[in-house]
Order: sequence, then C-alpha cells, then structure tokens
Amino acid sequence: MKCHEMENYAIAYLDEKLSSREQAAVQQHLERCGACASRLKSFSEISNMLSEWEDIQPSNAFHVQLDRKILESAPNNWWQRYWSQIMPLSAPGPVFASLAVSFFLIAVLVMRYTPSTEDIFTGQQAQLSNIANTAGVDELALYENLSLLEDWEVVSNFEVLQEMKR
Amino acid sequence: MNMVFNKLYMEALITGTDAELMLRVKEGDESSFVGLLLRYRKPLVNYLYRMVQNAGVAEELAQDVFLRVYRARHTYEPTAKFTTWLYRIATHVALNHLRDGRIARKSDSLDEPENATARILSNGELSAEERLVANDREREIRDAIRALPEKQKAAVLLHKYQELDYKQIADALDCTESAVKSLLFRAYETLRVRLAHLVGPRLAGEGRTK
Ligand SMILES: [Zn+2]
Repeated sequence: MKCHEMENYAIAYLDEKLSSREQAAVQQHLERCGACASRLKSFSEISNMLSEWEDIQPSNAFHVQLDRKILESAPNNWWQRYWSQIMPLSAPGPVFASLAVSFFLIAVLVMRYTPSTEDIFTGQQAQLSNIANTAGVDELALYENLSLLEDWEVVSNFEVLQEMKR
Repeated sequence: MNMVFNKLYMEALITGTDAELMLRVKEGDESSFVGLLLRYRKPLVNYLYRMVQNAGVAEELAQDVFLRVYRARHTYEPTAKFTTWLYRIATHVALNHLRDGRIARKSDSLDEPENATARILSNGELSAEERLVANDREREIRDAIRALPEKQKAAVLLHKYQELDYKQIADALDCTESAVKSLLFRAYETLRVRLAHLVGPRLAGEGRTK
C-alpha cells in the first residue's frame, strides 16, 4: 500500500471497518511509514477530542412549537382542503394573497373596459351594414358570419361605432 | 394524566422499526409520528446544533425537518433507511440556513458561549479551573469544526456524533462511499493541524470519551 492510498483506508481502519486483508495491508504500511503512522495517531486523538463537545437537551417547548407549525401548515377548513387538492403545490399565504389581489385587479380592469353587450350588438350591426353597403352584397349573408360577433375588440375599435357614440 | 407516566406509556406503546412507524403515520396514525419524534428529536437537534452552532436555531430547523417528514408522509416509501432520509432532509435544511445566513452568522455565534458555559458549569465533577479549561477547549473544537467546508463538516458530524455508516452518510450527502471516506480524511487532516496544540497531556477529569 502507498501513502496516497491511505486517504481511502485511514478512517475505515480507525473505525475497524476494513476487511482483515485490508486491515493487514494498512498495518504493514504503518509499520514502515512514520508519517502515516503519526497521522493516524493524531486522527484518533482528534476523534477522542471531539467527544468533549457535549450534547444539548432540546427545550420543553419543542413539541408545542412543532404542533403549532403542523397545525399552521395543515389544511383545516374546507376551502384550504379544496385548494390543496386543486393545487399540486400548496401556495403559502403571501403567494395566495398576491394571486387573489391580481385576480381582483384583472377582473376590475376587464369589467371597466369591456363594452356592454348592447354596444357590441349595435356596433356589430353598424359594421355589418357598412361592409354590406360598400361591398354591395347581401346583408343577410353577412349576419350569418357569427365569428365577427365574438371579436368585440375589432367591433369596439371600429370607426363607425365611435362616430355613432358622439 | 401524569406527564412522565404519559411519556413512558407512549414510548412503551410505540414499538416497531422506524419504517413501520412511518408507514403507520402514512395511514393516518398520529401517535406513530410522536414515536418517531421521541426517537429522533434529541439526535436531530444535536446534529443541527453542531451544524449551525446555535441552540435556538437548531430547534427551529429540527421542527422544520419534522414538519417536512410529516408533510411528506403520503409519498413515503420504505426504500431507504428512515434515518438516512431524516438526515438527508436535515443536512439540506442546515446547508440552506448556512447559505442564507452567512452575514447573520457572526451574531449567531455570540450568544452561544453562554449556553456552553451553563452546560459545563452544571457538571459538578470539575473544579473551577478545570471548567474554564474545558470551556476553552470546547470553544476551540467548535471553531475548528465551524471553519470546515460545509460538506466535510456534515460528514464529520454524521460520522462522529450521529454514528451513521459510510453508506448512510453517502446517501445523505449525495455522494459515493469513497467520497465520504475522502471527505472525512481531509476534514481530520485540517482538524489535526488546527487542534494540534490541544493534543497532549490533559488535566484530570478531561479524559471523558464516548
Ligand atoms: Zn505512508
């Protein structure tokens, strides 16, 4: 055995966890190598010295505090249980709160800037008749094109509708 | 019911291997979780205490570890040893704390010597002079361990104080057994240089070993 191989055997040698063959090989090296022998001697002295650092006792409040943490983290009412079922990862309080606030803000914005259905409908008609007039085609055929009805954004930005509002 | 009796009663009642207890927790038996707590509270607090070197923080982190164990009960599979799993979580929690609190760490260590003193003072076998020396030695040992690279430190603590085998330490630290032996070798190499001046003739009463 060589000195550099001791890195893999020294600790296990001291722990007596080597096979008898490995144990003998290390022993043989230590008899011939003063440096490794003194290194292992000091390793075992250090290990004994570490035992002087004594254990502490957990405080009596440990269980109470843990209980509180478990209760705080447990879903204990119906909406939390429901929430934890639909959310793969449970959202902590601040995340949940900011999600709720942004949802509310978005809802307000959408309601403020969405034209009422009445506007959409009149706008739609205006647009359709306009297209029909300029193109000189059958108005009824265009009314059947319902995909236009869904696109309220196009309708609300339509010039005719804005003129009608004035 | 008398508290002491209650505790003894619980300990007697809660039998079985760690894995058996954990499987019962998985099935909704909370008293088995108490059983695991009674078994591992002290070793876990002490591992974390030596990792972060602050008793109060160590308790909080240990509670976080148990909380994680409790919350992971539904996905628990007894493939790895329970202790390995526990120390794996604990190491993760401790390293996160050390990484988050590098700046705050200095103030953490300030309130610790009092704890150490209180503990050593309670040891009636030592004379006043011996107590002071023991206190100094312990502080030097703690400082030397604190200065180790994090993974070496975890390996030394799991090996020396928690008495895990190389395989368990390897699983807890996400490395090979051979890497564990090498981590330990390098840690002891550093410690023997830092603590060389403490080796040698000791005062009576200090030969306390495990
Ligand atoms: Zn050698």
